[in-house]
This record gives sequence, C-alpha cells and structure tokens, in this order.
Amino acid sequence: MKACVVRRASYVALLTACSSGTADSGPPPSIRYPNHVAAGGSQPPAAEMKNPFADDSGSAADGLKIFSTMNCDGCHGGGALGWVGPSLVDGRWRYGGSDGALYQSIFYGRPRGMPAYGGVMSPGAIWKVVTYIRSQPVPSVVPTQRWPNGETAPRPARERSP
Amino acid sequence: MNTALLLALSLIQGTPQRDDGQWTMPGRDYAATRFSSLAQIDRTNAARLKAVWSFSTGVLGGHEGQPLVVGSTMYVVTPFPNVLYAFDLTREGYPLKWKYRPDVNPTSQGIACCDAINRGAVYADGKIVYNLLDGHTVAIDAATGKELWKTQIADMGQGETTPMAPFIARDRVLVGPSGGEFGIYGWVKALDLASGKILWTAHNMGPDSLMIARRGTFTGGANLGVSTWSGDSWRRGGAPVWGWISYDPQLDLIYLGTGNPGPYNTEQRPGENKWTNSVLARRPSDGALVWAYQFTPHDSWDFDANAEMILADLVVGGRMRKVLVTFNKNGFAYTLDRATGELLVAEPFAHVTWAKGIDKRTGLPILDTTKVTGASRGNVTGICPSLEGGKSPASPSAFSPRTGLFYTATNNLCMNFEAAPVTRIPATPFIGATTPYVAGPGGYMGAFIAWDAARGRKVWEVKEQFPVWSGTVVTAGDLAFYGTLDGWFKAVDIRSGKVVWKFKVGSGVVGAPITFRGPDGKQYVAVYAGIGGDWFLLSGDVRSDDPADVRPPADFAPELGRHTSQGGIVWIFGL
Repeated sequence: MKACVVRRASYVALLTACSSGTADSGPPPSIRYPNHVAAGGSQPPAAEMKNPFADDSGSAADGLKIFSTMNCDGCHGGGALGWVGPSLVDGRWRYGGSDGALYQSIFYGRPRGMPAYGGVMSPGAIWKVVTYIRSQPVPSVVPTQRWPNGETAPRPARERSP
Repeated sequence: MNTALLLALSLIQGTPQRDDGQWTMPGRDYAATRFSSLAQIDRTNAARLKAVWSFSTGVLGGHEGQPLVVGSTMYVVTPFPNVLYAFDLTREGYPLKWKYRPDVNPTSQGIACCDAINRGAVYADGKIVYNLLDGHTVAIDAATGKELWKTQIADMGQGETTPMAPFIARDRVLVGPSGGEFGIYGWVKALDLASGKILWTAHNMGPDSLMIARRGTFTGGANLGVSTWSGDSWRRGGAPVWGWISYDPQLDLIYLGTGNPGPYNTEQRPGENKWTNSVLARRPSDGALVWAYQFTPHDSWDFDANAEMILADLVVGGRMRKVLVTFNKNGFAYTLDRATGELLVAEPFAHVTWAKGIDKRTGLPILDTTKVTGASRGNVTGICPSLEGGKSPASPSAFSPRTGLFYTATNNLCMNFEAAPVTRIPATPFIGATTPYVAGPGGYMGAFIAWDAARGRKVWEVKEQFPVWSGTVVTAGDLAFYGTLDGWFKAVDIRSGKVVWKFKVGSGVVGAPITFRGPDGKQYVAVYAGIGGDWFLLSGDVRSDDPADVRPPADFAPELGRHTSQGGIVWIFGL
C-alpha cells in the first residue's frame, strides 16, 4: 500500500500527492477512520493526512478566532460544547476524530447538517480550526449523571453558553 | 360581558366552519382560537380521563404542532424526516391507512436553527398540505396518500428552511421560511391549492414593490422597508415567517407575524428595521399589504413576533371591537383593532425589564435604555423576558368565547446578552450574540395563565417548575389542556385555574393539543409528547440516541434531564 502524506497546508498538495497512482494501484485521496470496523480484517487503502499545525498553540488561538468568524459557534455552541450541532469537546466523534477526519468534515461537510466549508476556507484555516478543536480538554470518561435524593444534578466542570 | 353574544359573534365572524368535531387546520378555525364547542369531557368528569391509544412516531426530534382529524382519519406529521401518517379511527387500535415517506434533504437539519421540527399540516379540498424541512411544500391526497404536487418554496443555500405549518385561505396556500438566525430576506408566498404553483411572493422588508405595499392600499408610508435600515442591510435582515396565520373572511385579511431582524448585533443594522417583529395584514388574493404594526422596533433581544394572532370580538373600553390578540415574545400581550391595526391594549403578561410600558398613542415601547444591547455595549445583564419569549410563538394560545378569556403557556426566564460583530456566510448562522439564561423572579420558570385581553390583566396562573412550551386547547366543557417540559399533560378548570387531571406522557411536551369527536361519537383529546425545538439545544442532556454527542445539563435547568429524554409519541385520551 502506498502512503499518501500531506505535510504542507495545501489541499493542492494533497491532490498532487495522491493522484500519482492509477485508479487500480494508488490509494484514494481519502482518510482512515480508526473507529471503523474493516470487513475481513483488512483496512481499505487510504491516505493519512497530517495537520501541519498540530499542537501549535498559536495556531490553536488563530483557530478559535476562525471558529467564531466562520460562524462555527452558531451551531456547535460557544466553546464547541454543542448546540444544534453536536459537541466537539466530549471526545466522541460521529465521523472519526483524527486530524484528517476533522479536516474532511469541515472541507466537504457531513450529510446530517454540516455545511461544506471547502469553498470559503483555505486549507490552512481549516487546519487551524482542527488544531483549536484538538487543543480543547476532553474528559477521560463521561461522568454518569446522578440525582441523589432529589438534589440538583452536579454542575459540569465546563461552563456552557448558547 | 354577554357571553352568548360573544359566542354568536365569534361563530359568525371568526369561526365560519360548523363545529363538526374535526380539526382541519393548526388553530382549529380561521380565527386561530383553538376553541372547540365539544363538551362531553368537562370539569365534572375530567378526573376520569384515561389514555386510550398511543403511537411512537419513530422520530426523536421536537414534536411541535398538532395532529389533524378529518372525517374518520387522524393525520400526523413528524419532525424531520417529515413522515405523514394517516390513522383509521374507525378500527380498533387505529391502524394506519397509509404512510407517506418524502425524500427530504438531510442537510436541512443543519440549516434549521433550533432542531429539525415541523409545526403540522393543514387540510382543504381533499388535500393534506404541509412543508418539508428542506424548503418544499407538498400536497397529499387525503384519501390515498398519493403525492399530488411538490413545490420548492425556499432556498437552503440562503439559510431558509420550512418547518412552518401552511395556512389555507380561499384557494391560497400561505407559507413562509425560518432563518432569522441565518440572515435570510424574509417573505410569505401564496401557492395555488390545486396546482402548487406560486401565485405571489411578498417580502417583509425592502422596496414597496417587493413588499407588495401599494399606494392607496397601504397608507403607512413609502418604502419603509428600506428607509428604516442602513444601506442594504434589509437584504439579509431576517424577518422569518415561522409561526401561525389567521384570516378574517369578512375583512378579507390574513394576519401573519414576522420574526427577528438579523443579526442579533444591533449595530450592524441601525434603524427601526421595518417590518421585522411585526404583524402584517395582507389580502390573500394578491398579497397586498393593508396595514402593519411593529411590536419591537430595532430589536435588541430577538423578540420575534411569530406568535398566533387570535381574532375575537371583545368589548374594549365600553365598545364592541373586532380585535386581534397576541402574546409577544417581548412579554407584552397586545390587543389591536384588526381592521386598522390601531393599538387598544398592551400590558405585560410576564416579568418585563427591557421596557417600562408601551405608549398607546405612538405604539412604541418606552425603553429602559440600560437594557439595549449591541457589540459596543458589552454584556448587558438582567434582561427579561429571555429570547425564549414571555411566551414562545411555537406554543399557540387559545380563546374561549364562553369566558372571553385567553389561555396560554408562559416562560419566566431572564437573560444576559453580549453582542459581537458577525459576518454573513450564506447557509451558516448569522447571530452575533451570547445569551445565557437565568430563572426569572419567584423561583419558577414557567406558568399557564388566563388573560383578560380587554383589560390587559392576568386572571389566574398555574406555576410550573420549568418553562411551559406547549400549545393550548380550550373546550366548551370549560377545560383547557396543556403539557409541560417535564412530561405532564394537564387539564385545567378554566373558571378556577385548578388542575383537575394530569398524566405523564413519556417525554416533554412542545406540541399543541387538539380535541375531536371520534367516529364512535365520543370526544377525545390528542397531543404529542417529544421534547425538542429550542429545548433540544437548551436542555443539554435530553439526547440519548447518539453516543458521539454527550452534553452537560442546562445550567439554568439542571433538573430537566431527570424527567425527560427525547421521543415522539402521539397520545389520545378519553373518558
């Protein structure tokens, strides 16, 4: 299997790197979903996308600003805690939580309501939003909610705003 | 007050249809009274009500709106994916006659601001007509379930979705879009009932030509839909049409409320922003605007005016008047002359801090300027009501001509409001504010109230722990029915305000109950359970179907998730 690695913040680079093989021999320009089950135990051929800004705190700060200016918070809520769209900080993912999966969700959209941002955001801006989301603390376990003896449920550690 | 006279006038002017035990349109009649003259179930026997039937819709989204009963068939529209069920009420267990499964674009779920809800269908001329979330209106043969026509009315690419229940006046199907949080350019359209062809489109702002505001017909002023905005901000100024429409056949006027201006940040749209947050009276034949009244000019708080406009005939100030009564999100209940738009009464029905009152002479609110919001004004605190409204427009109220009173669910919430500049990117939210809620004064978050619209005063109230988001039905048995977010369905004696019966329906109620006479001659009451709508967003933790979406409880209502999760159920109750 031929690896297809994108090291620069350029979607063109992804297309270039992945289109060198033929339809029969090269992996498609897609990404792996680590949480998918592979039929027959064999993973489908796929590229692996690398975030050029991974773990860069300056890029995460930029990403937070972009998250707001692109109106992401209008659906996913302030702090990405979830609103009409799902929470992005609970450590749970519908479409895979790898950097590449997040990139694809933003670039192409997802059919349950996520619009495709690939036409209005540069690849670099998308990667910075990915970096911001990945920089958010994620609970190691989602706590079981309990309401002992009629008392109010424990307040979550995280503040929430609509 | 002469109750018999009121009833007679109501039947002549507001309720042209004989009460045949059916429920064929969202508000039951053109006047949107949600009043039924059925009286088998009354104050003396309501305690014996029991569940006679229930049905899971198979859908989890917020079940707003109401079933229809036409002849011996009950029709139920679900939230996205907008399945239409037809139940045969003549057979034991009410089995399905047919089930219509439209092909709805799932992306609509992300363009809808506040859960993928639907507010119901309307019946006329053998057709069930309703909107799909993705911007289409469909007409279905009521007998066979066959699709007769399907018309695209809205553009999701501009942030428009269509959860509204259509309204039919004469042979016109009237529809409008949601999208006040997406910077749409709001409108109402009339479709031909027979063919689905779009006959006219009237915008809610912009030049008179696009508003169908003609000199001689509309006397309010020229091009107010442009001059009350800065630059071309009206082009993305919101004014969605997502509530209910009523119709006076004698005056030949339809009444529709418009929603909030966009964005929430006021500083991006200086001016009064006409005709957002307004009631517009139009001719159904050609859409011509006849009069308009703006409840909340230059809205600073998301006070949509999409609530039902109930038509009644009341003695106001010693004179019998043809009025329109509406409970606005801004916390005031308004009584207007429905022929002219003249303001007669405007008094608070909920705790209000943003205004000191409404000036009857000018019709303008007397603002508390410390509550005005905007990006340069920072975090403005202590605004009541919250943007959920003193009453949600999604929760239609009811009018009993037997008492002359109105009955409605209310919210007792306040908010802080921190605005920020925002850029419009079509098909993404265009909001620009953070607005956390707190409970209003008194230690309760909602109530069910009786309201005297002639005098502008509350007659009684039933306090509720949580905001009340259900519609209301009122009957000649002198009962009102409503549901609660924590999943109770209740009957109230409208003479005393006493709860005489309640039943836990399995999920919070955001729908609107109806009553009907079954083929067996008995009276029944039906309602949806199924928390959602804004409460899908606000409750935090009522979702259980998606392992990838886990949320903390709402900080202002952490107990709500203890009493309800999502789930759509149709209930029928009887004696």
